[in-house]
Amino acid sequence: MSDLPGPSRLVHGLTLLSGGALLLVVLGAATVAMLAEFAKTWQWYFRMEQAMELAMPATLVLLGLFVTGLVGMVVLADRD
Amino acid sequence: MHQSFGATYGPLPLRFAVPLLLVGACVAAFVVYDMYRMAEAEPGETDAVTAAGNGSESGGVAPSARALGYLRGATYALGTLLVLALLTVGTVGIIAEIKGTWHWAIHLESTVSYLGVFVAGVLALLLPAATLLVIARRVVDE
Repeated sequence: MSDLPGPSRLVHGLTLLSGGALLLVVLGAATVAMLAEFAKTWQWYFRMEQAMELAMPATLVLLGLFVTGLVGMVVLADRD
Repeated sequence: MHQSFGATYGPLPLRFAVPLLLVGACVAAFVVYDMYRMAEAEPGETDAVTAAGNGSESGGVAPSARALGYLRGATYALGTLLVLALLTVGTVGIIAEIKGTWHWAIHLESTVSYLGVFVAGVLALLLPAATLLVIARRVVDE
């Protein structure tokens, strides 16, 4: 792992980072949704709406980065 | 007719729900960290655990260590269930936001409604299990 050349290490890190961030964003949005369901007030359902509105573009960008990173990892991988 | 958690028990007051979910998130993070640490641990250290997990006759393993192994397994399973449930809700929510249709809004509503009951149940088991695990670790010498 540590003797990977430059670009492939970069792509590797980018993929891991975007995948991790993707998980965290989705989990965060779901946490707000669960709080809203426990609270059952319009204020919290509105917060859920806002959370989804914030999380959606971030998810799309991160998902794009993640898929690109995965493809990049495969392209840059060593052929044994 | 399905009755939601709120319809059955009344709304869970926010002053309970917010700390509950936050503590649940911390516990899930602890479980993930603990799994990672156990995976990194020396093979000798995890011998007792694997022997305990086998369930078969394993001479030399103290019953307390075996019980601790089962408790750890239960905590891991509950933490995994919590994370998977949250991932499901989050995924459906994001898709609903992308699609922006009534169809998907209703998918989100029913998913949140059902998994709210599930998450409340998982939290009710996970919180005592994780607390017990932390306490038992100090008592039982692995």
